[in-house]
Amino acid sequence: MLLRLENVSHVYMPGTPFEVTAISNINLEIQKGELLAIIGETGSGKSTLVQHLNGLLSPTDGKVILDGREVGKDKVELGKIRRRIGLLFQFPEQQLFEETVYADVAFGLKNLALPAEEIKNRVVKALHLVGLDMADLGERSPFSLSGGQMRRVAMAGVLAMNPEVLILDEPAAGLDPRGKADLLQKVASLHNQHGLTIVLVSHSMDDVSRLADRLIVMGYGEIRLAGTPDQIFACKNELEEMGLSLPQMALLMHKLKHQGKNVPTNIFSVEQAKEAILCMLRGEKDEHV
Amino acid sequence: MSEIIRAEGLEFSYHKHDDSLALSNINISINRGEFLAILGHNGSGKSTLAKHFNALLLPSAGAVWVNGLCTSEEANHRSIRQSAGMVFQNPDNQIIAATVEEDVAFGPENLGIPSAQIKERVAEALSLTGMTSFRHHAPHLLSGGQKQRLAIAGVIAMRPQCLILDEPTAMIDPRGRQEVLDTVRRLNREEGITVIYISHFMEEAIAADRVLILNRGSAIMDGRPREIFQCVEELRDVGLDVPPVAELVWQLRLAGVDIKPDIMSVDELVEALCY
Amino acid sequence: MPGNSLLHKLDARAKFIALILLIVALFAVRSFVGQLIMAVLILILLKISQLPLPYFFRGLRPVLYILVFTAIVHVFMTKGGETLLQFGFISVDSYGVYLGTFMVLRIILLIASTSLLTLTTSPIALTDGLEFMMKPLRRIGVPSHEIAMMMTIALRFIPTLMEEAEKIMKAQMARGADFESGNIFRRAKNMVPILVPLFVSAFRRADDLAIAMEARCYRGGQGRTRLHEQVTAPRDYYAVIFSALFLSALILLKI
Repeated sequence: MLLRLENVSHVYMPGTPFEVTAISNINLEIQKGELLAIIGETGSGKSTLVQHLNGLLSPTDGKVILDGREVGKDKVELGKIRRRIGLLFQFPEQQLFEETVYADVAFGLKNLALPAEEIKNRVVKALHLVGLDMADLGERSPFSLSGGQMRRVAMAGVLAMNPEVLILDEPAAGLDPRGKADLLQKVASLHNQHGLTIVLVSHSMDDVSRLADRLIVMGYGEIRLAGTPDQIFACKNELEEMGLSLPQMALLMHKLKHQGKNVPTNIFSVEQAKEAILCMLRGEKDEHV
Repeated sequence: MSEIIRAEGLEFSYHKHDDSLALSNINISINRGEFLAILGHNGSGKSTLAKHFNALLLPSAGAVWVNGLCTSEEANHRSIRQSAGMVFQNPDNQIIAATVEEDVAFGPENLGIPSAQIKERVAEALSLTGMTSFRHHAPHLLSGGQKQRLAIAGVIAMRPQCLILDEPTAMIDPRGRQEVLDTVRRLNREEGITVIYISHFMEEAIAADRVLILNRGSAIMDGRPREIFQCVEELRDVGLDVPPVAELVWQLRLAGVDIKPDIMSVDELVEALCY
Repeated sequence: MPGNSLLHKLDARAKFIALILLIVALFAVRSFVGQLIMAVLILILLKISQLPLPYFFRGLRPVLYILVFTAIVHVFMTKGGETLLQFGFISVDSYGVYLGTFMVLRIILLIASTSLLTLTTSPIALTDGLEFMMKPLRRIGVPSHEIAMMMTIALRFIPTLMEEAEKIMKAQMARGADFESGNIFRRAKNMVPILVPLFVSAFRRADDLAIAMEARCYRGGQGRTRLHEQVTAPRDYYAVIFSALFLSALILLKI
């Protein structure tokens, strides 16, 4: 196990009239190599939660433990922890600032006292991981790129640090369908082919359900549901209570089942739904024969 | 039905001596009370087109008329912008004043409407968008969906006949998206306001009366959503998805299942499969 | 601060004029007696305003350094009168102590009277009041409406930009930026990754906002009406007359 949160709570502005408890009593384990999705509405505490994973916030109460050692005990360690656990906020293209794409991706590396050659290799590799080409874009200004490209440059900036864990807050927000599919596919390949542990934060079930090994559903600063996508989507009523909607295909299956049809409900993609319905229709035909 | 907006041979390029056209040969007539969705991927020209309907951009060639007034005449701009109000993508960057109520009043204030009438209009606009209880709030404390409803209220207070929304939900969460869509739909149905809704979310277009698909500055499809969403392959070719249910129906039909091609919602599909 | 006292109800323009008169009075008084009278007046107004005292005094905290600095400068630098203390070449004279105390009191009273205005008036009314006060300056080419509009927009966007700055700072920290170590030059240089994105975004916002304002028929102050018109009641005139009388009395009595 890589990361563990023990009874973590976080209160903003404690002791003032503006005091807000953002998360309370969170217990969570993140395994090496898994793809975990954290789902919840805006204000459910998911952003606060992930900022604890790399020490950007320290818990008001409870502990965050990385590889058996408590995060935040030692200020000097924090830099190292943030390198191991990369975090990309929502709309990360807003953090670009250098004159060239190369310089921007290399930004974090400059503080590491690495040889120039190594920096260059890492930048090229990071750009490649997000599907951008150093020769094409390296010397261009990041501000001259398209929105989708800028976002990928920002992602490369985090990947260049060679993190073990990559946390992505709403990575596909605001992209058009093609850009979204592209980006999510890049995330999947970082996980499948490069073995990165990934934490995806989203308010959309549809986007993440196909990718995740495990889901956590947050509401009012607490973990409400946790389990595999199959297990979570079986809890239709609980999800709806929290203002989250099932993926359309799962909803369809639930409704068919409600009509007395023999279909599975753990389905999220159109492809799976097609198979399930064809199977259902075949079954009905056999009965009639 | 009478016409509210018309574009003829509309062409536009951002740079004067540039051959690449952001819009080429757009011909469209939009009727009063219609709910038109304009879809296209990023860079297809959909926002550029929307800005022509409110005289924020002027055609390089061809012409646009709003309420019979040509947008190329500068003297018409005030009247055009009053009758065709616009809501933009970024919820933060279109709120001008430091309280909700002051912001809603901004448009009417510019039109020089007397104070007592502004008060009436502000109250009415806030109630139509469900924002009355926030009237004294500071805008930065609102959620994304509330900010966009505030932006809509700001336009409604100018008593427009037409509401143009340029990707109003691209930057907000699903709950906010639903709030915005519900508000727009209600304004269209109950208040008879013409709606032009620009989006890249296919699901949002299901509510429309009519869908226009843009690709590389040209209008390539124009029809009812039920007709358009049957064209799964054509839409994919231009970088768009169809709503999942429409895609499933298409796939099932390809696999030989005998169902109607124009099913768009989960409930319709359940009905088609069960009865 | 929301409230419903007489001070809250006064028109912002009346309060502006009254405040200016009070400030003139504050600079006109030459003795501790005069300052005492001013202090009593401000305390009475404070009582009328029903502002919570701790909140009111918290407003003084940011100027603490200025107060200390003023006191030190006057105590050590102003010579005259008896020498009270002497350490080597540093000496403290009685006139210096007198002047230091006087100046510190003056600043405290100045801040207190200004806070009375800002804490009982909404930012919007304040901006409107300011626009009115600047109107005469329009003749000499001061764009009073534009300045007021800029203030409105600043009020609206300061919280948004603060949130954004914090977000960018966190984002850069997450990819290895260090804002805490190094000397002052190093730290200033380290701000670049925050300032550049912040400026880029601010310009973008300004651009968007200009288009949004144009779309809502904004074309400057000409012919614009307001949601809340500024209406003057008799009490506004009384407030101004009272302040004027107060100022005249102080000047005539030469205290």
